[in-house]
Amino acid sequence: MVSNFYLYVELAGDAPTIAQSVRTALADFVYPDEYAMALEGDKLALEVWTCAQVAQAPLIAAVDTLVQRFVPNQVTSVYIEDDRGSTEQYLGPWRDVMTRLAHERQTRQAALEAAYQRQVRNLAHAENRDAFVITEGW
Amino acid sequence: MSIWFSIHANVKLRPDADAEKLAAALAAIEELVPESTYPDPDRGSVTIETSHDMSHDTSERLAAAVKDLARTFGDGQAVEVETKYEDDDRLSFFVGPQAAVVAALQADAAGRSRAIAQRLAAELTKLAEQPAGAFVETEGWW
Repeated sequence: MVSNFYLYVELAGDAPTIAQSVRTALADFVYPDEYAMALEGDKLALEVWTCAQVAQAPLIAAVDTLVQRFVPNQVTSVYIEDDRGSTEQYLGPWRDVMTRLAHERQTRQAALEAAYQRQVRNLAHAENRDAFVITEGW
Repeated sequence: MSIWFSIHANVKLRPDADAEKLAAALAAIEELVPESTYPDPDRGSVTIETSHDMSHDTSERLAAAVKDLARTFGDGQAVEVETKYEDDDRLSFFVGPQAAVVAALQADAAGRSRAIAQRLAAELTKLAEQPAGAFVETEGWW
């Protein structure tokens, strides 16, 4: 059980049909004022947030079922934040998810390397090796 | 207006650290946020750890006090300070002599790189058990 929960996902298809399915799927888990849907281009963005003690796994499973139903042919990202931090889950066809994971790894490694190099460059301005320095947070 | 702020740092002390001045520095931190300093004489270190609602000013003074503690009483090694403000991501930064901080950053980056590779490997292992045409879901990338 977590006490702070936030989820974001974009679903594609007929918006009224998706909206009705979302309402039905989430009814057992959160109150109507704990989620919202909005059209983002041709997709329906779903946000869920709650501070109540929520059983996370069945709620996420319900959302995953919606993704499989409405976005079966492409990779969809489900962003989740809770007491432990944030995570991004990918759903979709096996081969596309494998490709997305490999791309994600490259992106994260490149971002890490860039951040590291920036930190080291910033530290190079210190007067000498014993100068007291503070890095940026990362 | 108060915010939720969390900080953690373990400062290894110089053997010749002035005990009286150190006690005064810790008392000043305790005055800012009670029950936030944990001296460990056996290991020659002090841990600063707290998670509380506090004013933004207090959080900044607390972070500054931890840096001063490392600067004045630290043993010359890099000190990792972890902070978190409310909904922001947890941040980690290093304070200390430049050479030590660069070495700590390098080790930290290597650890983060390994974590990315391990996370990918774990996801790929799980996905490899699924049929190639299946609709699949990953566990999630923290």
